[in-house]
Amino acid sequence: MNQGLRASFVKRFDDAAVIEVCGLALGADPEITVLFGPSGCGKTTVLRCLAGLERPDKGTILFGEEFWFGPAGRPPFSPQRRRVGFVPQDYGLFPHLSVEQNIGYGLHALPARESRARVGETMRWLGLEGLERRRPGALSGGQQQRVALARALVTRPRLLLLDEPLSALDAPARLRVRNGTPPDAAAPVHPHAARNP
Amino acid sequence: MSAEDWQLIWFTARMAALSTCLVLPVGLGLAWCLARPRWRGKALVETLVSLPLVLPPVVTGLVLLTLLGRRGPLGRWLHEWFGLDIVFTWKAVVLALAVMSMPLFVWAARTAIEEVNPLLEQLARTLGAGEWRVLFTITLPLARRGIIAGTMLAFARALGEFGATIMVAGNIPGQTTTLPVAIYSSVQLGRDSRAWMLAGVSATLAFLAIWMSARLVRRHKR
Repeated sequence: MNQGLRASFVKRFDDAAVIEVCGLALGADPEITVLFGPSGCGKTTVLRCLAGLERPDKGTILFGEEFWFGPAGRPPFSPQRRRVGFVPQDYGLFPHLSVEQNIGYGLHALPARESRARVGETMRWLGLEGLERRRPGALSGGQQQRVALARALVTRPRLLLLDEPLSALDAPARLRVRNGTPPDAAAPVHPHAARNP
Repeated sequence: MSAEDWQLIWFTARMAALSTCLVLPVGLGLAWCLARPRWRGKALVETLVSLPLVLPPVVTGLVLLTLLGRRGPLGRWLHEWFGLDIVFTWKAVVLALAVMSMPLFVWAARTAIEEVNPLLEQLARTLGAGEWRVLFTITLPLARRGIIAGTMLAFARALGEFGATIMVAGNIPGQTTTLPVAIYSSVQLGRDSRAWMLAGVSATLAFLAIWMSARLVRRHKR
């Protein structure tokens, strides 16, 4: 049974800065959690630790029955196995790939036809039609952000981590994302979203 | 130019191309190991790889000769197990060129790999990509300009290699003599006009290699 996400960990940096997360809990039902705090307080680092891109110094991150990190002695879950969608602050689009290839990057295990269909669906949902062959460099900030969101959502992640989201979205797109309209009603995307406003 | 000269040019270009083929996979592996993970002994390997750049080429050649000679540790093993003789054959030419051009390639490729934003590789991992997929779809394509430039630089360096080659492969016309070695022996024999003609060919080949590399790099700029 999925009990959502429970995390308590400490991350130290070389310059003696310490980030401590005490009893972060996200429920099993689809829900949105927002992290607030002044800039530089470590919101991004917390998201990176949850995604598996950074390793805490001690503590545990438990997702459902899976120990993503800790307790001591257990090897951490790799980012690949966590199935987390991560949208970083500067979107992190692959500059050498087209919009379509960027969005489909995480679907390489699927048959080509299914992957194409899912990419098309997600692009329609986020209003990205017509941009399939463009490179990220030729997109506006808002379009880039939607591509990054599409790339994270199309893999149907179990947890969606958004760093400074929605800042560049136009009003209608923001509304659609906030309402959580899934791109495919048969297999809805209901990620837990931890987000850094 | 005589048939013998054409054969010499063709031989040198072929040896340089073969050595570049050897440098590419080994050098890419080294460049990645030096650019990405942290490990003990990295500084030592880094220094060893760069050493041929600053050592007199003759010294590098001497080391290779000692290692690969029939009484050398590596040479004896190769001879006993595979019946392979390296020194004073075309294989020695290729090896000498590879060792001498390796530092230039590793340096260019390593810089290019270090410039790839690690966040992009991390994001690929969150999207389920394993390390090989990350390498071949993200790291290498994004570092391709430096890798192409390094390849051409290594090829041009190999075309001009003299000191290590003559030590380990000697000067056997038609078998191990490369352009720079032929230029040297032409001067020794007082055939200055041939030396100048071959020098012109050398310069043209090197010019073409560098010019093509600049063009390729520009084409991949986007």
